[in-house]
Amino acid sequence: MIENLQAALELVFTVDVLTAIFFSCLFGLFTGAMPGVSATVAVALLVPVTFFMSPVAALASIATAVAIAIFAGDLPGGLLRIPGTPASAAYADEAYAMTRKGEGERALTISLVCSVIGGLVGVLALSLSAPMLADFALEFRYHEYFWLAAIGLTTAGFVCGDNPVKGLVSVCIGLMLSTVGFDMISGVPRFTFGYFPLLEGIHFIPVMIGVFAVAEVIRNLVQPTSTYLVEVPEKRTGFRDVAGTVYRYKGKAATGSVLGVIIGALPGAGSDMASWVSYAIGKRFSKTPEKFGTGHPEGIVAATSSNNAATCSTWIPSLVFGIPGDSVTAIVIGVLFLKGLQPGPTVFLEDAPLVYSIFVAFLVANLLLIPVGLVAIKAARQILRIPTRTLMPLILVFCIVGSFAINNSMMGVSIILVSGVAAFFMQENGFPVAPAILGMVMGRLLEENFIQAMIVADGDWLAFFERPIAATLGAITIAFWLSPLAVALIARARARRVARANGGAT
Amino acid sequence: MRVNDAVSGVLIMLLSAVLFANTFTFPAVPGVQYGAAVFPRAVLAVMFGAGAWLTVKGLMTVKAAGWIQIDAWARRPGSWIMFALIVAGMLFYILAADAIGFVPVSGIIIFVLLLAARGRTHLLSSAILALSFPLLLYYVFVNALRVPLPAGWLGGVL
Repeated sequence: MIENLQAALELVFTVDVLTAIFFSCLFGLFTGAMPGVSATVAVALLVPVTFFMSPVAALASIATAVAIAIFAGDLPGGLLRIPGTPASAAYADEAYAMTRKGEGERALTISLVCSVIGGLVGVLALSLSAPMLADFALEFRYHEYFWLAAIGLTTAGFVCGDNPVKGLVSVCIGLMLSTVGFDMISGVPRFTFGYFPLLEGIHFIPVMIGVFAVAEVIRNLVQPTSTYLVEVPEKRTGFRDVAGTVYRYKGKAATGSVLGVIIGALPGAGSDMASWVSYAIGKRFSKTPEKFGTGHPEGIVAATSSNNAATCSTWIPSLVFGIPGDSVTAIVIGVLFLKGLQPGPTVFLEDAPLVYSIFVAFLVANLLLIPVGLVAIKAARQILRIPTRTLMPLILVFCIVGSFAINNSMMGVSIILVSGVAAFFMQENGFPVAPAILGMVMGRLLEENFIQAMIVADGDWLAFFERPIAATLGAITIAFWLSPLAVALIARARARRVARANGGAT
Repeated sequence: MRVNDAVSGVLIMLLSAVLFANTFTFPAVPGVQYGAAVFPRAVLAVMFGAGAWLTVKGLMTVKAAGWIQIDAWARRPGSWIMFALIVAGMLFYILAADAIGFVPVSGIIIFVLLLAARGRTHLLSSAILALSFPLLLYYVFVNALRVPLPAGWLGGVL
């Protein structure tokens, strides 16, 4: 392993590879900060350029662009409530709440530091235990995936807002939106109402832009409360303060990173799911869950370390089995083939230096993220100096462009219009909107695995608990479902005891 | 503007009932036991239940909170004009951008919204923003990100 690592270092630390890494770093920063241009699109745009590069430079620049783009998605998410990538959507509200309190720079710097921590944990996991993690991931079948998605959804329903029933309605709306279009299993069109473009389904990125950004534009223009987005004076952020905050929530960063590694290694799941699940679990096991959603760094720490860890570990199934973990690594496999490499277990034996050079490139990218990210935060923060009334019309047009960019169709613009107006009224009435996005992201995964599990087991519900991992995940999910009931019962029992005690006293 | 939860609850129940009825129009695939309708029906059943819960809880508060609470912003006609302008701007883009082009259409949207939001005092800066911002976006998205934004009237110039 040491000689492979040494060979990899020699491969990466050459002028052309480092130049490629530097430019893809800037490219990733730029594309990640654009709403509607996800990390996948960034990589797709990069592919034609990689034709002209050596295999190491090509893979290194893809690895860099992804790692940086996932962080860059936090910039518009935190400052303007427009998540640049779906992976940032889980904590966009939290970071935005901090921005409104004048702590935008602090939120983003914490997010940067945790992104780097998550990224480094991901690199370590990738290089030390890729084959082992891949074996674990292969254990996951329909039932395990079903429970995983169910955990994500239930926790999200309870996490957002004060009223879990309204969160549940929001999750259901998201799940229903994910069913629009051709059914993946039977090929039957659903809920298209005879409208042809709906056959393809509703893409969740325009919905995300509409629900978060357009609704925010409407709110700021229709109910103007302040001249600037941040009325309180912007607080200065010292590195000591950020380091202290991250240290205080070091447990959250650790569990977030580990969860990110595990979820990222599962084919079909990815950094989006990792950040949602980590945010939800972070809240569930927090000492102060009531602070979540009010501009509290704890959830940001958990979620942002998680999504960066996942960007590394999504490469595991691709490298070890040639099964892409998400759309980015699907493109990566294409590039591997183009460069004459056969992904699979043998790649670790035959092309070990090249594989290790990918790990080194991830490491370099994550370290490069610190200076580049700090500069980007300082620059992006200036946007808050523009008065809200001037900023909002510009953001509206920006949203239109972003939603159009997904698949270059006007459909995206129609979707942000409908979802933006709907989200505005939903939030006016206390319905949280983030669970709907999660429902859309996980809907297909949940449904496909549920239906296939039912078909495999011939409708036997007990099959959902037969294997050890499935049984564990299932038990956790059901515990989540029952916990509000248990809490209510305990509260009632306590109230009765207090009443009886008072009654006895008088 | 906050309506009583009972109103939202009834709307949610209605929506889930209509969609549930719609699942019966899915063509049946012979031999498929767990077909396209299973999952949506399960979700809709949960949604209907949640709507019923909200309705019952909401009805308990009607006496105290009333059917609808109208906030200060919703009493001002200006708020609703602004709301209509935002929606109209996006509709205008959907209908006209392919024919007229991204730059003129988004320029008009920005100019109108800025005028409505800031009044006529900032006329010059509004005009400058409405001219420059779409051009900047057009350049970035078309040249750097390869997004084919509609060129329209300015197709030959840009």
